[in-house]
Amino acid sequence: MLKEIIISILENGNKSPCLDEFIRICLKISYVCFIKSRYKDFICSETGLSCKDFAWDAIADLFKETNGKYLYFEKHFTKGNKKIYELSEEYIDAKLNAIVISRTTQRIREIRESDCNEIYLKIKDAVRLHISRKSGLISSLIYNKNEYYYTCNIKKLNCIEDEIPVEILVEEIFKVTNKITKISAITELVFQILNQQNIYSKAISEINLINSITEYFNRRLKDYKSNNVHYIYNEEAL
Amino acid sequence: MKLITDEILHFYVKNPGSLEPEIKNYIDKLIISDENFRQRVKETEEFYSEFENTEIDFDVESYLTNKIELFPMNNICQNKHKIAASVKTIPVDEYKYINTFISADNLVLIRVHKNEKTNEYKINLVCEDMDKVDSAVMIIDDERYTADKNGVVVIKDKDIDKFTRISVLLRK
Repeated sequence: MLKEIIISILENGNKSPCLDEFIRICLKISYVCFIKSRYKDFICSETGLSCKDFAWDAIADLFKETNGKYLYFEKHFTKGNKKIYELSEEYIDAKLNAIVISRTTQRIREIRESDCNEIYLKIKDAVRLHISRKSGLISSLIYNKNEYYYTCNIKKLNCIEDEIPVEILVEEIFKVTNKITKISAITELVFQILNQQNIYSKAISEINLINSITEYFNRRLKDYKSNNVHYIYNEEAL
Repeated sequence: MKLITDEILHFYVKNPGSLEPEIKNYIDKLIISDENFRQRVKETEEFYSEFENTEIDFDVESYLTNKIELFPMNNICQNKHKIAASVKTIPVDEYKYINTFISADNLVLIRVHKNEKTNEYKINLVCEDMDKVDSAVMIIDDERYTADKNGVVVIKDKDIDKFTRISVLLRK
């Protein structure tokens, strides 16, 4: 049943006759995830949204259309070389729950971290855009309600729980360069750094990726304003 | 060590029998040995228990379109005091102001006027972007009326008061 609905969604996009039903299913998953969150009351008062409205707010991004198609679901319902037709109903059900719960949890976290300033939101959009454009190179998996990104072979992924701390990642970025101003380039650099080390996981959660890049730009801005820090690096060696 | 992603975990909680025996055995052992993992499984089980017991319906249309609920605006300032000399003689077929309904974000409002003689209601839709009012749909107690290019609807077949449920579907 769910498999047929999702096949229809992937094939017909926003013209699918099953769209309402599919959104209802996603909304219910998001809603239940939200009402189980201990931050439910805080978020409702902070945003002024009801639980139902927040459930939609959290997952609305998943329904962004590109030429009438929902690319996010297309990307996630292809497992390796397997297309959705070859996946089992149970797998599809589990996958959909994981995707929606992950997105809802991330939205809850974004609101909790209320120091979200303008630069953070701009970086978030740019990083998501970069990842969607490079969907062939940057893979993702959902672990413990978070979406993680990686560019190495999945077999080379070391334990995902040892994610690189933001401070260390920012230090590593500054060791390489402090001159990059494009968010897409800095995102690429983060994956290069992750792939070249073996201490931490080669995958990074979306939230840490965005936080690291935000921290990188904030530090550059601070250094520029204070004008008392000079980075020593050998550009030719890079 | 295998990586147990959330979809495998959901798969395990809902359909442990359908999982490959090797992975299922690995998860069974992990539950015993790893407290964090045990917690993840517990949270997933709780989610499904809540999910099964939750009966809720969503107004999907309001999320996919620009359907906006409107509420009676009670605190509108109406100057009811007029200088006698400035009061014109009101023709009997003129529309008289009844009420204003406004959206929660104060960006969309409708003003309702009634013609006492013909019993017609004239509803004017006003919103921040007036390009959107052309052909907007007003839903009044589940019946739909399409506005003209100025955002005006004239109806005769129903009464409108402060208890009437009104929402608006704006053009995208």
